[in-house]
This record gives sequence, structure tokens and C-alpha cells, in this order.
Amino acid sequence: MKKIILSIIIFFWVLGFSAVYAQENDTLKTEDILKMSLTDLLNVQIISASKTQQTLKEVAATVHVITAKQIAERAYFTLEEALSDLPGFQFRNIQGFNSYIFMRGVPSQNNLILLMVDGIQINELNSGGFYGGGQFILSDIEQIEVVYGPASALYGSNAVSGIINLITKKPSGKSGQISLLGGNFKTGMLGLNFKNYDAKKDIGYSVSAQYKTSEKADLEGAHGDNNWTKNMENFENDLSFSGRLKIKNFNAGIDYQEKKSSMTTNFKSIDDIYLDKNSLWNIMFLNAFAKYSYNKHEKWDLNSTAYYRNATVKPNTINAVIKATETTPGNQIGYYRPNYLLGIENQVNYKPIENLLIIGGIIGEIENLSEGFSVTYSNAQDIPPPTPLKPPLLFNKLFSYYSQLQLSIFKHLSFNGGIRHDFSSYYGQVFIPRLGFVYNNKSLTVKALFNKAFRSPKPWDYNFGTGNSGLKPEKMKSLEFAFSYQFNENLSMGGAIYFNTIDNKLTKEIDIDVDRWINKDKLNTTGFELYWNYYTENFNMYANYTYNNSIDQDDLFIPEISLHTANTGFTYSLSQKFSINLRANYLGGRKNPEIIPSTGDDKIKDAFIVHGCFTYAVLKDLKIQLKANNIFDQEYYHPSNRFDGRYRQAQRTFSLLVAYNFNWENN
Amino acid sequence: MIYSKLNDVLVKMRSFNIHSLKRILVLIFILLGVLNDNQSFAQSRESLIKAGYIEKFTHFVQWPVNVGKNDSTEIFQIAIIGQNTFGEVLDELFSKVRINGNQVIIKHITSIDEIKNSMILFISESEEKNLDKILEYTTDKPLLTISDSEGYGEKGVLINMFTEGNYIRYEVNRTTLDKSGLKINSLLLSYAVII
Repeated sequence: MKKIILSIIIFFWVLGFSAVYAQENDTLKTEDILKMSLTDLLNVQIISASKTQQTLKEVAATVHVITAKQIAERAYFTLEEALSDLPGFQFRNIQGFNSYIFMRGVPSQNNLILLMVDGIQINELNSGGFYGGGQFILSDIEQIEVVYGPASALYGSNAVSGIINLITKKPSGKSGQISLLGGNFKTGMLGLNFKNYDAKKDIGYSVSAQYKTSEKADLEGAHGDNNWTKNMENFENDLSFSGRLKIKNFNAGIDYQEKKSSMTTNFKSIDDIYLDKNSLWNIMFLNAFAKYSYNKHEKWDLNSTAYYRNATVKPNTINAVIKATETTPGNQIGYYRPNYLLGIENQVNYKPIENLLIIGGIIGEIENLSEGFSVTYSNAQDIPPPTPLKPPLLFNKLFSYYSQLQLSIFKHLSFNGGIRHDFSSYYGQVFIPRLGFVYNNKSLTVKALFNKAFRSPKPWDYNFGTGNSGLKPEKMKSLEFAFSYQFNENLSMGGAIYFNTIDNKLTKEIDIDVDRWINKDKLNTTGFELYWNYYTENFNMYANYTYNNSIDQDDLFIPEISLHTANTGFTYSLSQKFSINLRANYLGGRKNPEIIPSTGDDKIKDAFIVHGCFTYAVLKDLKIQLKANNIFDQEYYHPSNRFDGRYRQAQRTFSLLVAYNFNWENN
Repeated sequence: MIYSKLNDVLVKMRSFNIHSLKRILVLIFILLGVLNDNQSFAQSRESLIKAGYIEKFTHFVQWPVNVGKNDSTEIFQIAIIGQNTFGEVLDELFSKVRINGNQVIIKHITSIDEIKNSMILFISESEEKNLDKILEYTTDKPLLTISDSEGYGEKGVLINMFTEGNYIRYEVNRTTLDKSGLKINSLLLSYAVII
């Protein structure tokens, strides 16, 4: 296999250097420029063709983008809500401390997708899984880039199903925003943002802060499928802060998120030992980075980034409350799990000739991860547990190098090849290749992609239950063919067909004496996605359909994955002041991991859910927005891999947002 | 039924191995090579984006009636003075659009005398020595002067494009604008650095 890859790379190297004509690896055309608005043009990067940033058509992957405009006009409140309108996504929203996002037919604990904010990972360090929910400051997001398929050859572990990168808005002028939201289920939000940028000096900064709170849904008694009592407690309170600093080629940033949630929905309280109140999952994420870009040379540039990541389950966490019985007083269980990581990455982009770009990088990381939770117990259900001591930390080192080659073979055809080689003190060596061809000809783009990926086991996997120190990385190989076609300036469509195989898939081994993760299962996914977009100045519409056939080594359907999902929606601007947005999500039926007591079978029924939003610009800088999710109040469920039951999803929800923009430059 | 058949096909397709992958990649390579039309023209992405800005500017600027009108033809003339850094990009881009219903012509000029009848004047960086003379001529005239050189905005060019990180931005000289008699839509100004 390595010989094949090497020979292909050498072949195209030779081809590239012997090219008798040089042409830019750039598909940006005058037609594209003419179709753009002024705002679009402001967002076009001049280095796209020659450096690492590329247009959607150029990049050797299927990529979908959610823009700031779409986030605003659809009034997305959580990350999973924003992703729900894209092809390829399914969910297990437990309406609690986390929400799980499945991409292209692979259920997981969010540990097969890489989530990044401005290119820095924000997956939880101990388990590798990121947290869904409301802690992201979506009003300060310029775009959400979703890369489908494995990308470990560039991004390393976790980039198995795909990558989600939240790109924050850049400082521009002197501006700010204050926003206030209120809704049913005690939902509220206060957001603040301020930006200041001096374009002549190329110096600027931005700060954003946000507080969100919500009880999410009515899950009491029968409303929650009789999983919890009528006295249940459920909440999520998210405090977030983001800061950015830019001084010419130097950029620095900090992101802080503190997420406090009830753990009620993690367990059943009816017919089980758990009390459905007084628990608290308190997790904190702190990411900081400093990046310097040296780009004074025409043929090469250097990006050097140092980063710090901290993901800590704070010591006031109460994972569960055990009910008192006639014979026992019950107790509260305290958790503490600190983790942090320091890393540095240096990336060189070298363009020796017009049609060739070589990217090379090295990464060094050290991390201190908790061996497991430090756990304490109280003596009664109403008494908080003692603060846990700091648990033993595992010290790990990682060194990686990667290289990628982008070669424009002909005017319309480019080749992408790359490798990444990891040396970890934790999981050993992993070598990951990728290959891709991208054909762009005016309106048509065709991509053929072969990728491998891996996910290294984390302490949480090794130590779960009775533990298993012999876990190996889960490995995926993927073959994908994708296309997109622009019919005219308004209408485009595209799709992808993919064949993914995950080996060494982690599965739970549960026996009388054993409860642990083992490498056992194989997961094969065969699927395709189709999407359409129609865009005019006043009206835009989208529709997408996804087919995912995920089966295990015995050809049995993978639970929690539906064969069919579809989404559609439109936004119509009736005038400059008033617009309406309607969206609909179809989730096909799927299998629950366990028999559901209330139905006696393991079927999660399909659901068709409609959401809507009215936006009214009262003044130039003042808007109000009325939003309704699940307009028809459908009763629908997500699967549970926690207890023998299912998760009722939110009933009809309303919210009203008032947002005021300050722009001192215009005053 | 349809889905089960489709599923069967897809499941069969998944039984690829590396040899079939090689064959697929080679086939794609050959197919796409055949499709390639070999037309080669190099154009700078940066120039293309700047040309795009010039085209967008025309949507947001209002010229006084009859300004720049040639006696005999309905044309919209854009003059470039100095070295042409756009290559064929401007000609290609403006050959595909009309401004206010008028055909656009790009005129490459070398002297101030040739500016007459132009609605837009792009001042190249190579004209640094003549900049004061050019601006002396253009000031107080309803002529949209554009440049992409450091310091030109401060010296009096109405719109000067510059690079900010990986993006092209522009600054607007308010004094020059006020003197020109041109009207600029507030949206264009809202994205500008005002100097």
C-alpha cells in the first residue's frame, strides 16, 4: 500500500516539475466574481489558491458551510441545531449535559468528529469527545465549515467521521452588538460583543461574552416517556467568553466555556436508584493560542502556532444522586477530572512553481490527563459530597509530521496527496495516507477521494468500568466520489457517494465480572448525499437527502442510525425590514440499542419536524426575531445508549430575540 | 423495494480493494485528462478580486447625469493610467457586464489628457511621480479615482484598495468624495475605512 502511494506521489512530482506550462491552481473565475455581492467579495481570500486555504470547489473533500447570515436568519441556538439542516447528520440529543452528533452513519460519543474553534481543537481531552449544546457564541461565528469524511492525514486523531470548524468573525471597524433572548422552558440568553480594528495599522481586537440558560423541554412524568418523575430537575447554564487580538501577522485568542448542566437525563429515576435532582455536571474548557504568520516571500510562508487546551470536569461536579431508601440514606457522588495540553505546530507552505503546492508541518504536544475521575461520596442524598482530590495524571507526548502535495496536473484537474505520521507515547505509531483528485471545469466539480483515519483510545476508554489497557486505535478507510454542478447563477446541486469501513471499532463488553471497552466490531457504511441550493437576493432555498446504510460485521443494522434523513428550508425577504424562514427536518425510523419499556420494542419512529423564524428590522441597527421550533408540536424521540428507554425531544418552543448593533464608524 | 435494491448495489460496490482503487484512480485520471481542454491563461487571483471590487463599486456610486457621456455612443469608460497590473482581467470581466445599460470599455492611457470622458480612473502604482499632477486634474471632478497603492488614499485618491491579512479591503477619502460630486451608497461606505 505504501509503495503504491509513494509511486503515485513520485509520479505526480515528476509530472509537476516537468510541466511545460505553468498555470495557477485557481478556479476562481470572472463569472464567480460577477455573481458575488460586495459582502461576498469582502470574504474572498486572496491567498486561497496559493496557500492552504481553498475554495469549496478546490478542496479535496466534501465541505458544507453554514454562514453567519444563515446562523442569524435561522436563529440557531445550539451547535447541533445548526448542523441539523446539513446532509449527513443524525443525533442523540439526551436533553441534558451533552448532545451527540453522528456524521455519515457512525454513532459515537462525539469522539469521532474533530471540533475546532479557529483551527484549535476543543474536543474534551480525556475522552476525545466534544460537547454539543449552547456554549458556543454563534452570533460571533463567521462561518461553520463542515468537512465530511476522514481527515486524520492532516488533523490526526479524532478526525474520523469529519471536522467541524467554527470560524469566528474577524475584527472590522469599531462595532458591537448586544442581544437578549427569552423563551419558554425558562430559556434565556444575554450576549455582548465589541470589536475594534484599525485597518491602516492592521491592529485590532474583539471580545464576546454570552450567558445561556434553558430547561430545554418538558420531560416530567409521561411527557418524558416516564423516565423521570414530575419533580425532576433539568437545566443547562452556559457561560462563555471569547477574545481575539490581531497585530499585523500576529494573532492570539482565548476561548473560555463553562457549562453547568443537570445530570438527570443521564439516568432514569423511575424504576431506578437515581434521584432526578441536585446533580451538576460542571465542565470547563479553556483554549488559548498565539499564532505568527510569516508571509513575506512569494513562494513560501510559515505559520507557527502555540496552543494551550484545558478541559476540566470541575471538583464541584455531582455526577449522580442515589436515592435514599428505607434502609439506606442514599448519597451524592462527586467527580473531578482535570486535563490540559500544550502544543506547538509549525507549518510551511511552499509553492515552487505555479501549479504545485507543498505543505509540510510538524506538531509537538505534551498533555497531562487524569487517569480517571477522582470520586467522592456523601453520606446522604441531600448532603453534598466532599471535594475530590486531584487524581493521578498521565503524562503523554506526541510528535507528528505531515506533508501534503497539491498538484495542478492540467488546467482543470488537480491531485492531492498526503501523509501524516504520529509518534505517541500513548498509542504508538500511526501512519495515515490520503489521496484525492479534484476536477473543476466551469460549472462542474468532480472529486475522487481515498482517505484513512484513526481515533486513538483515550484514558476514558482505557479506564472505563473494569478497564482495558490493551485498546488499539479505531481505524477507518474511506472511498468517496463527490460532485457539484452550478446550473446557473441561482441554482446548484451536488452529492457524494461513500464507502466507509471502521476496524477495531470500540464496543462495550458487558458480562457478570466485566464492563469495559474492547476492540471488536467492524462498522461498514455505504451511503450517499444529495443536495440542492437555490439562491436569489430575496429568496433562497435548500434541500438535501442522505442515505446511510451502516451495518456491523454480521450485516446487522447499527442501532441509532437511520437509513434516511432529509432537510429542506427557505428564507424569503419580503422587504429590507422583514424576512421569514421555514425549515423542516425528516429523521427516518431507526433502531434503539435496547427494548423501550413504554413500547415493548426497539423502534424509534420517524419524525418530520418544522421550525420557523420571523425577523423584523425595527431600525437599521435594531432587530427582533420570533422563532418557533417544532411548530406542530410533534412527539418524537431520539435513541438512548444509556438506559433501556428513549429520549423525548423538545415540544414546541418559542423564543424572542432583540439585538442591537453598534457601529461607531458610521455615526 | 427500491431502497433494498439500491442497498444491494451499494453493498456490492463497497467490496473494493486496493487493486480496484488503483484502477478507478487511473480511469479517472485518464477520463479527466481527455476532458481537459488545455486552454491556459494565467490570471492573478488578487487582480481578479480587485477587478471584482471595481465592478462592485460601480453599483454603489452615482455619477451626475451626462457626466462622461461621449457625444456619439453610450459607453462607460474606465481608464487605467500607468502600468497595467490587471493583465486581461479587467477587459474580460467588463466585457461580460454593462453599467447602467452602457457598454464598458477599458482604456489604457499614459497621459492626463486622455482621462477625458472617463467615469473611473485607476491610478497604477507606477504613477507615483505623477500622482500629484493627476490628482490636481481629477479633484473637483465627478470622476471615481481608484488605486491599490499604500498612501494613495491619504494623498487624495477617492478609493484605495489595500491588503488586510488575506483579504482585500478599501479606504475612502471623504474629502475627495465631497469635492467630487459623486454620491456613494452607505453600504459601500459601511465596509470602508474612512480617511
